[in-house]
Amino acid sequence: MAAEELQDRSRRETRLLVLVVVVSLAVLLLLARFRFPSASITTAVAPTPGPLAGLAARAAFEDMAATTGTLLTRVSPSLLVVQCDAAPAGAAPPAHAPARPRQGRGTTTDSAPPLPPQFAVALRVRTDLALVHVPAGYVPTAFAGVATPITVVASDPVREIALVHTTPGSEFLDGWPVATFPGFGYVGAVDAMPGGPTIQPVFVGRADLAPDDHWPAPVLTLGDQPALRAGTWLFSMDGRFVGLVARHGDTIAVVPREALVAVVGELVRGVATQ
Amino acid sequence: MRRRELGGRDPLDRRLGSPPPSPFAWLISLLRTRSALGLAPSLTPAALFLLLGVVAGPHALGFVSTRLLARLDLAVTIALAILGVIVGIALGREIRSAVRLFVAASLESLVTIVAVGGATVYFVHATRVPIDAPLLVLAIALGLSASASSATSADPDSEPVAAVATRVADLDDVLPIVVTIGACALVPGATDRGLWIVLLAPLVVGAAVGAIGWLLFERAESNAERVVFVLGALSLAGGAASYLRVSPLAVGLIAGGVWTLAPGRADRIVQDDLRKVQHPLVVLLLVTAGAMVTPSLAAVWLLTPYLLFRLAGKVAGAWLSARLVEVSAADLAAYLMSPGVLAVAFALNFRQLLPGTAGDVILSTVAMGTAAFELFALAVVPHWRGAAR
Repeated sequence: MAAEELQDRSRRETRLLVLVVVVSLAVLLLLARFRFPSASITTAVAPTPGPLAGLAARAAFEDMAATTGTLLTRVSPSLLVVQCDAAPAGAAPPAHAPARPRQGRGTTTDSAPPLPPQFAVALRVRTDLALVHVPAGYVPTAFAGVATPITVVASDPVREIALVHTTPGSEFLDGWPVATFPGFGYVGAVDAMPGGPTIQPVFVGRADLAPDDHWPAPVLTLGDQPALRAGTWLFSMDGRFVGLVARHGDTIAVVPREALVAVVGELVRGVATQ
Repeated sequence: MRRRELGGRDPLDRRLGSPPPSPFAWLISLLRTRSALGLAPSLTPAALFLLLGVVAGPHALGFVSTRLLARLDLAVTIALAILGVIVGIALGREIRSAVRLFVAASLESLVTIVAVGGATVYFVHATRVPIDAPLLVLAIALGLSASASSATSADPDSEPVAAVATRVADLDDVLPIVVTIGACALVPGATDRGLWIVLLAPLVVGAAVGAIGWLLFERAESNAERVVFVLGALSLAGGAASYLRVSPLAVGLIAGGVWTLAPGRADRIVQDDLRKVQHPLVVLLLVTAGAMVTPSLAAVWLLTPYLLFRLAGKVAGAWLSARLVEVSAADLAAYLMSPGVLAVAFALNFRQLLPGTAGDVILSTVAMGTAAFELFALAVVPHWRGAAR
């Protein structure tokens, strides 16, 4: 009798196990048919200020630090850090390649020290594509912290940009709110560190629209800005996209979104027609 | 423990059935956490404290600011080391007499790790969830968090399966902590310091802390001095793990094992002193974890496979291991349903190790899953409320 009870119980438990496993697998397969929605929903919610925060005196610097930290939290999911190494010998010299030291009668030395690796921030522009500024004389080699080599989908040495393949993610450039930057204000300048993207608030003075032969839309010229360099991504302090800092003659300028979108389209079409 | 001689239930009581609990007794029984890891049941309901942390955290009322959370990081690390020590002491005591139980517990946790990890890999790959960490690390982190169980606060005399389940829950955290040592090596940038350092550091540091404690604890001249030695040793375990970026749970596990297996009373001294900080420690971890929960769609997205496959893993694991410990698989699975503080501890550990938002996603998913399973456990473990009286 007891043996029968045990057998009954064992059968019941086995049925329960099979039922749980089958239901779990069925739900998993059903859910796997959906795709993860876009970045605007995945972006983490920014921390809210404490209810008692208003009662305490706060230095303006603390406010600035909190705002820039929050800004980086908001934009980080759309950013990737790319390592760029010196282009191999024999590669075509890019437009703005830095001059190598010369020896003797003006011949370029072969024993010049190799250029140190640099890190640049890539911005997701399509589901599986990211746009990165590649300094002259460099090529993107890997995502920071990832051993597998990077796949360069297309590159534009004149504009010093490249499209790289990323793990499927969510789009950024098309859906993100855009700021029309009037000048004389702070922006969040996002740059790359080996451990991840970093940000600093930068005051930008006069910013004038000016045509640039390299870009399909006018760029914002900034004059002399030692805190900014080509490849830095700029965001307004409330989290809207301002543009990419790029070379503009001997100075720098901010390339706005519409110009970047057009160039990305050109690069993608170029790949498609090859 | 309540014995019949001391007024426990006799066969006639059992036949007549238990009287319905008073509303107050029912409320108190709901709020008691399970007695895993040799800890006494205490009034630390995981779901409630996680919720409290979320409400007080920077994404809600902001009483716990991001700056405060950053400063709590070292305290969390030391708390994780203490949990590791408690698991290590449980392991040291049981391993000699209950190898079969240890194998059953490890089998149960391994099945859950594989189930949740495998489901996560497939789901993330199929639905293209953007995760800024290696997929394997994410899957292992969720699998390890899912494998933790905190058994039951039932009186071990109430029925045999409650006693067995409590011991299985004590031991099923050992394998996940050992796996954490290997998982640390997969974290981006970990191998820059040398693979052998990452793999051996927990063993060496844990053994060193164990040896230091073993030499010091029994030579203390007063209780106060002994408490300083104990807290110093535990702080050393947590601090060294944090500095070397390895798992403090693993360092604590080794140290706890050394104290138990070495001759002397080091394990009992540590356990007595830890009993005083047990309640604040669990509350600190749960509230901090709740405050660190970052609302994101990715965390909600991963929650469904986490819940489903933790359930499936626990049922399958209990089905396999119940034969080894000779109890009913369904009862064992029901008793192991509550994840307890260890699940949150694993998630906090990976949040510290992983850069970017992946750690936040893991912690948020595990915190929501823990709260859900704690509530679910109230429904599927009907025995302990009545039997504990």
